[in-house]
Formats: sequence, C-alpha cells, structure tokens
Amino acid sequence: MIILLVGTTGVHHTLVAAHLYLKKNISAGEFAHLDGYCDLSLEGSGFPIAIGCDGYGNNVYTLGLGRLVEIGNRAINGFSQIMGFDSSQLLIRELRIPGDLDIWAASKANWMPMGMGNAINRLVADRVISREFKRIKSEALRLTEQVALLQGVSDNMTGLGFKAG
Amino acid sequence: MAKTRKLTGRFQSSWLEPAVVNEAEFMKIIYHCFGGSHSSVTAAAIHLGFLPTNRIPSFHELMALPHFDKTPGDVYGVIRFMGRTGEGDEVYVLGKKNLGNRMDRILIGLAELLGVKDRVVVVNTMRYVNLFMMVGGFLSRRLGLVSLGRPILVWGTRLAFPHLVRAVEEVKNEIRRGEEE
Repeated sequence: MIILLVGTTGVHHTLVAAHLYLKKNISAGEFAHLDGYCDLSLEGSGFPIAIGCDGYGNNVYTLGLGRLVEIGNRAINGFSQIMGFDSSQLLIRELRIPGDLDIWAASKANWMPMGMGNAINRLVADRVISREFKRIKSEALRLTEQVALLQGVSDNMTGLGFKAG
Repeated sequence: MAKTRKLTGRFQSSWLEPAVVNEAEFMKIIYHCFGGSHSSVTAAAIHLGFLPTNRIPSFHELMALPHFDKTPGDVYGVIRFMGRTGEGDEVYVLGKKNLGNRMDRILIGLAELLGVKDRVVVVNTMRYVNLFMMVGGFLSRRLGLVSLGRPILVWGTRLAFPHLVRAVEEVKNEIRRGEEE
C-alpha cells in the first residue's frame, strides 16, 4: 500500500506527521532536525516526497498541494478512483492544522536573498508546528490505527483467497 | 506500451458513463483548466470528435457540449468524464482553480507512484485561454451574468479553437507514439 499525506506543503507538518507515523520517537523540540524538513527544493518539484517504509512494508509519501488543499485532494482521490485504485492500495490522508496556510505563505518567501527566505520559512514552520505538535501526533496515531485496520482487512482477505493490494 | 484494441461500435464516443471494459488496457486523458468548463471541455470535445476540426464551431455547437459553461463552482477538483474515444480511451475534464502547472506534476507524480504513468496523459489547456475567455468565463460563471459573459466567452473560444485543435493533435500523436513504443 502507498500512504500519501497531503497538506499545504509536503516538507513541514505533513513531513513531521509522516515521521511520527513511522514510529520515530520525535519530541516537540526535535522535529526541526528531520531529513527534508523545510527543504523547499523538494517542495518545489511538486512530486510526492518519499519519507520511508512502515512495518507492514507500506511506502509513505508526503505531498504539498498549496493553498488549495481541498481541490488538490479531491483531484487526487478522483484520479485514484478512475485509475481503479482503492484504499487498500492507496491511502490518501489530508492533514490540516491551524496555521498551515501561514507555513505555506512563509515557504513562498524562499526567493529572498542571503538565506532570509529560508530563515522566515523555518521560523514560521517551527512556531506553528511546535504549537500544533500534539495535534500532529494525534493525527499520526489515527493514521496508525487506520493502517492497522486496513492491513488487518487486507491480511484477512489474503487468507480468504483475495490478493492484497 | 502494449494495448489491445478489439473494439466494437458500443465503444464509440459517448457522453454516457464509461462502458464496462478492461480498464487496464486504455488510456485516461485528463484535460484541465481553471474552471473545467471552457478550454478543457472544448479540448476534450475535439479529442472525442464532438466538434469539427476543419472549421470553427458555431455558438450552438459549443453550447451543446456537455459541461460547457454549465459547471457550478463546487466542482473544482472533481475529475468529470467526457466520453470515450473510438479506440476506447477515456477523456476527462478537471477544473483546478489556481493550482496551475502543479496539477500536472501532482497527477503525473501520483501516476508514477502507482505504476500507471504510461496509461495517463495530463494536459493543461490554460495556455490556450485568451483574455476574452477569461473575461467571458468570469462574467458567466463567477458573477452569474450569463447573457453578457457567454457571447464574449464563445467568441474567445472560437478564437482559441485552432490552437486547441493543434494541442489535441499533439496529444493524439503522443499517444500514438507511446503505443508504437
């Protein structure tokens, strides 16, 4: 299964949530050191960002959709439907937190010279994510439960002769 | 790309829901623009053969197209089925608001992840949208001034039509090249 965490950006709160989901013991003060955190070159590509693989062998990705998360998410869901994929093959989870638009807006300051853009990007992201860390952690926990449930269903279906995604 | 092309008349271009066939064999072509109701719909219609390509279509021909200047605002992000080509490929339209070229990368990136990149063509038709289409579309769809906006919009669409025909031809050629490979 592919797990895709979507949000306004793919290298801030979604990336932290993805790492939390992957059982990495991260405290509120440590998320800023995660691989790819605030890396706007990754974000700028527009492609899903590979984060890692969970205990079930599912690949975890994040994807930034910008300001129009709902529209992008709807398009992604529609796309997976027309391509014939279901939630046992592709799990899309939208992660919204208060202030995620601020993070997205700050990420647009990247053009500023002498590292100022990057500093603004980090400053805003750090503040918002620190404030909302509990919420992000609980979202990651909810995702863990959802995946466990889906995995259980898939395993049972495999036992009954169905092929798991 | 290997594809089976054993088709009967029931797979000819249709505005109805997709027929039940082996989906894995056919391409999905998604035309997208700001609102998903003008340039993308026109391009999709050209692709499906709903509009003539040897002349500029009339006001009534354009207005008769499904979804053309009829979509409500809440369908942004919804991929809508337009029809199936004679070869069995499915053509869709999508309104993506200001997501711009990012939508191409999102869908192609996702297709790559899912291992279906060779079954998808995503086409941004925004580059063919002219000022008349923008103003007419804004008046008609956003402000609800249909009687004022629609004639401007259709005029703009007719101006853009040859460009859209060329764009669709390019898409068809790309699909043909993909099949040959």
